[in-house]
Amino acid sequence: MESAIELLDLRIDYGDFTAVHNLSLTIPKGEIYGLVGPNGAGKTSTLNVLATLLVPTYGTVRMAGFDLDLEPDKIRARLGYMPDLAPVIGDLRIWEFLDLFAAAYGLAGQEKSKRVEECLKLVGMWDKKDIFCSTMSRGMTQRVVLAKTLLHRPEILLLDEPASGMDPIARIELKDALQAVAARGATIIISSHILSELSEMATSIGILHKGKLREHGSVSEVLSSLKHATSTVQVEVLGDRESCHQWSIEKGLTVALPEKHPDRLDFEIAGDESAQAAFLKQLVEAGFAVHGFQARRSSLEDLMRVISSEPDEEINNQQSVAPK
Amino acid sequence: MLWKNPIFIRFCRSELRFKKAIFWYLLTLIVTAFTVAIIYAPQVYRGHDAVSAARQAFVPILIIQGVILLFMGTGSVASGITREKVDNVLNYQRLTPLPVHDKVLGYLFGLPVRHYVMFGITLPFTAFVLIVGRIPPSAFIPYYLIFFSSTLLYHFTGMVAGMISRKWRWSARISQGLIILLYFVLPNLSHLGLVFLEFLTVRPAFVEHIFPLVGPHSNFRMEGIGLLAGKTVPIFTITISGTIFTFMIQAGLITLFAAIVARKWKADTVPSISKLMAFITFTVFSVMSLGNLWPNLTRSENALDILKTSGDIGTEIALVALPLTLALTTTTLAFILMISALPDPLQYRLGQIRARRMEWEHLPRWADDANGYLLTSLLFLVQLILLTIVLITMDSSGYFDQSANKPVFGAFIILAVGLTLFYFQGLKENFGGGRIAFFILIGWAIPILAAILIIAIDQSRGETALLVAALSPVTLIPLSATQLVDPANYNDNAIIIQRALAVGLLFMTAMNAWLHWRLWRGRRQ
Repeated sequence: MESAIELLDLRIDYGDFTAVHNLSLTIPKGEIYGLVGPNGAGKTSTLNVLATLLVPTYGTVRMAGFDLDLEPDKIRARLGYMPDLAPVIGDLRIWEFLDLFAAAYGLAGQEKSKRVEECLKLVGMWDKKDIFCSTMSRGMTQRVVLAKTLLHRPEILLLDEPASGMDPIARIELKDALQAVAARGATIIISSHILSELSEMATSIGILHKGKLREHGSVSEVLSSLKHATSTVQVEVLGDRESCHQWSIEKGLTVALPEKHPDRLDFEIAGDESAQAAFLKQLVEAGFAVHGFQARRSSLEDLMRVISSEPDEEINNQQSVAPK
Repeated sequence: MLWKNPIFIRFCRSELRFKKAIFWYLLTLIVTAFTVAIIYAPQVYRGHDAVSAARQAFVPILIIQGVILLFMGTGSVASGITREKVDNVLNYQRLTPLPVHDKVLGYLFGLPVRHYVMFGITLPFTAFVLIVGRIPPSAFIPYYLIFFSSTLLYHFTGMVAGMISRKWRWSARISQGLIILLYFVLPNLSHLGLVFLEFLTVRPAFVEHIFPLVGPHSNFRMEGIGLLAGKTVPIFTITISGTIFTFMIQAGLITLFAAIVARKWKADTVPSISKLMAFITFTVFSVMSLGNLWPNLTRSENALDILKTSGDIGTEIALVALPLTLALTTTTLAFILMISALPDPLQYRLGQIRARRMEWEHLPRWADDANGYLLTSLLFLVQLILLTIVLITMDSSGYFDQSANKPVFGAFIILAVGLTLFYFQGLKENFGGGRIAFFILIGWAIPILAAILIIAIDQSRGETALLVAALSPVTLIPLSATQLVDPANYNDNAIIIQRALAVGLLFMTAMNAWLHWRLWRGRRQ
């Protein structure tokens, strides 16, 4: 498949601090790629390099078939970038703000007006086009900046925390809008902390931690890597919860007793579904009357929690995932 | 075309919005109308000459126009561009395919667009005084050409300040500092023979074209105007009209500032100017300085009166002052250019990593992140050549006839200047811009302050004070210039001065060795 973005050995330094270590990654055309990681993971630095706003220490970056070092202007013309806490120009009306950038991207006359209208309608802001940008809420601002980013129909969209400040309905609209844009053939990279939504929206994800790409692939592939991780199993027993609790402690299990659920115990179980089944069998064989057993579905949050809890040495010794 | 420039249109929309701008329009209208009326009407009512009354009213109009465009407009450009940068809006514009010159022009004329309209409001009153005052186009057209050239220069100054400073409050300070430097500090260097620095402002054009119309008894004469009256600019053996020279020098500065802004537009992280641009700027400025000093060096008819005759007290002063003026001004400019063009430690290190990664022995010498040895050496070479020319010319003009010392003693100035330049390069590449200020305070200012304190406490400790002061490069260059004068003039102090100079040179050599050893060690690591 044709690749839209290729990173090879990308390194970004800020003084003595290395924000991104030798990152290699290939993203095919038309993909919605989620870049996930805690604060300081290197997501924004990576996006800034891709946006041509930051010069990396070294590394090769190719976007839309052009080398970032050699032809940054050609890349810029094909790029839409929405930074984190995206700014707007407060003393312009929403339509004036978009009109400015539409003209800066070379659109003129009727085509410019139509494109402004189309983009504002896409993000649900057309009916508010005459209000001043300074009066917008955070969520409205995000939507207007997204509209601005889409004006020139970029081949590659870089969105840094696009959903921050948006209400649930706006988030659903954002997801629909991005899927529509991707359907037209654009490649989208979204960095986000809202992991659950990212997993629904992205076709593939990469998890950055301390400047290294720890996991990379389709959402299901990445989640399957959780097999070695622990999961929470909610067990409801009839009768004496305390004796079950005591039994668990003797077995060395990690268990919590939720106050609002007098029959329930929450166990932390290492391993995948078979480990959970074996644990259920143990409970029954120990004589507990189990009437409820539910393993909470693994999520990106779980994976992030696992990765974030790993010691630095372990991270430094691991290699980045090879490009796929 | 400007009126199709999206950035200019954007500012027309935001800055000229009726509710936002009407106060300023009314203020301009009221102030200008009142000023013209209060000067013109009473004189005419009392039966005075209307032509003279109108001409008297012209000066305050020019002041109002200057306040609007030069003062308020510059502030608006500096703060506006920084706000755009801090708010990250500038990055949006960086990513658009709009050509860089369109972006620069859009901001340059867009940010102060309201001030241009306010200027426009003063025009009917200007037309009135021009017509009634019978002011000839040959007077006001050259003046307004220089006025607009100054406006562009000042707005570019604000833009450069906004683009290079990383913090909002710094941009205002830098632009204020630059304007103070351009308007008040540099023009004063004309007293040392560098008269071309007077021509950075609109004042020479005012003196040449407007002042004669107003007359010597006007209430609106500018302070110090007499110094400029009728002055032309000597460059080597020719003289140039003040207005034409102002236009030339402002055009040169505008070109430099435009190049800085264009570089910053392309990438915010690069040094403000390229090494090549720094070298060219330095060479042009240095040659211009030499050209200005030339009549004094050759004792031609344009020389200062005190220098025209051999054997005068002026000769003794000139022996130190002329080479020292050139050495200090060019060294100061070299500092500014080196701060702007040399990489800070981070850029320097990243450059080394890049070179290693690319398996290069070293980066291209003119690359932004390459070390500054080539640039520093070239700047020093220019100074060496110019100072040599100064000394040889002074010798042939008889300055050294009465002195036991010969031009060869000028080698001390050249040595001091060279050590200072490489010392500064070492500081910049080792410690970066921020820590240089700290270093200058500790290493440059403290020895001088300590010397003053020693003298203040005990005047008999002059030698100790001088030895302490010699540790500062600020003292070292003047100390080295004293060697051009016959030691007999210093009586018993000659040996003390020589000792202090030796200490200063040794200390500076040691500092250079330490700084450049650190850089060498860094490269090896």
